[in-house]
Amino acid sequence: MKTYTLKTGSSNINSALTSFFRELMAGGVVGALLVPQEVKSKKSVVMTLVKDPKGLKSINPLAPVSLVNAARLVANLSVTNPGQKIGVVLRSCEVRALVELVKLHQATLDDLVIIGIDCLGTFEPLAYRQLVTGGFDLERWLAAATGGETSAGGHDIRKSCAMCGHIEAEHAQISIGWAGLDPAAGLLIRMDEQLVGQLTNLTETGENPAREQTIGRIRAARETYKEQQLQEFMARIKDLSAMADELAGCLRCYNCRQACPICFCQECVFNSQLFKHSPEDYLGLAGLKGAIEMPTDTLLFHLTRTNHMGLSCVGCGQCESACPAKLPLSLLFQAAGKKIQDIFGYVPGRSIDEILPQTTYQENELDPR
Amino acid sequence: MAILKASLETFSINPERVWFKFISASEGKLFAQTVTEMVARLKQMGPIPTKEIWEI
Repeated sequence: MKTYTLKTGSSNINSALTSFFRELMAGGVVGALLVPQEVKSKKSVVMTLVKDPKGLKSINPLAPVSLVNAARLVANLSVTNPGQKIGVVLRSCEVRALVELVKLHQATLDDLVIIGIDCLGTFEPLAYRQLVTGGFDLERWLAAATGGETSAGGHDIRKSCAMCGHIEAEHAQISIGWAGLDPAAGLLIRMDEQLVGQLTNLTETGENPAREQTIGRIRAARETYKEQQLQEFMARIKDLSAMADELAGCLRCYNCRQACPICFCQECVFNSQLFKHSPEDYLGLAGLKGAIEMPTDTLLFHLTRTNHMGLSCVGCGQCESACPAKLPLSLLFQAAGKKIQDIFGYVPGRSIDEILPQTTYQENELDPR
Repeated sequence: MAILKASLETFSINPERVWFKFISASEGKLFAQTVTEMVARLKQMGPIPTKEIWEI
C-alpha cells in the first residue's frame, strides 16, 4: 500500500474521480463498478452498477446521503461467482456490514475490489433533497465537516452518523480520503503500487499526520457522544414498561428489517403462520391482559431482531431512517448490540477472520458478569 | 444462549426464565426433576411483566 494524491485542480472532485474510475476500468483493475451517481435533478444519489466507462456520467460518491446500506447490493453481486472483478465504492458502515455478510455466507470477497471512501456522516434522504433544492455546495460541506460542522441549511446528519467514529472505510484495497484535507486541493488515495501502473494524475505522497490527527479528534468526540447517548437510552429503558413505551409507535411495517443489511433471512419467522393469529387468539389475549395493543407482537418483533442481528449490528442506522414512526431504533440496536458484543469481545466488521460467536461455543459465555 | 439472555436483559425480562441444560435421552429422571425445578422457580418469580402492559 502506498499513498498518493489525486489532483482535483481546477476541475471539481467528481470529474477527477470520474477519470480515476474510468482508468481503473480501462486498465482492467475492475470489470464493473458499483458507484453512487446523481440523478438528473441532483436531488438524489443512487447506487449504480456500471459496466461501460461511458456509464460514469454523474458520479458523486462523496455526497452525504445514503439511501441503502450497499452491503446488501454487494451481496447480490457476489453471493455466487460474478466471473469478473467488481469495484465497490463503499463507506465504512457498508464495508463492515459486508464483512458480517461474508461471515454469514451471504457474500464473498474473492472478486471484489473494495474502494473505501471517507465518510463524516449522511443526511436523511429527504433532508438531502431539500438541501440540494436550496443549492448545496459539496466542496464547502466537506471542508466544514472536516472542521467539525456537519449541519447545513437547518439540517444535520443522521443521529447514527453523529455517533459514528468510523471515518475511514476499513478493509479497502483502494482508499479515497478527504477528511482532514482540503478536498478542493486533492484527494488522498491509498492503494497497492501494482494497481497504480495505468493511472495518471496520481502523485506519490507520504502519510499525512495532520489528517490523521483531525480524524482522531473527530473519532474521539463522536465516541464520547455515542457512549453518552447509549447510556442515556439504557437509563430510559430501565424496565419493560419503559421499553414498551419507547416502541409503542411500532406499526410492524418491517421497514427496519428490510433496510437492515444484516437481516438476510429469506423467510422471516414474522412472515410465518406463527404470527397469523385467529380472531379467537386476539380476543383470548385481550381477555387475559384486559387490553392489548394492535398490531400485536411489536415487542416480540424487536426482541427477536435484537437477538438475531444485535451481534452483527454495525450501527449504520438505516433501520431508524426507514422507520415511519421514527422510533429510536439505532439507539436500541446499538445499545442491545453492544451488550451482546461485549460478552464475546466481538466487534462486527472488524476482521474477516474473527469467528462469529453464534457459530461456536465459548465455555465462559454464560458466566455471570 | 448468551445472546438470547443478553437480549432478554435489554428488554428487562429476567433471563432466568429461559433454561438451557443438556439432558441425555436416557436420563428421564433428571429431565423430570429439572422441569419440576424450573416450574417451581417460575412460580416463585411470578407472572412475566408483559402481563401488565398492552404490548406483546
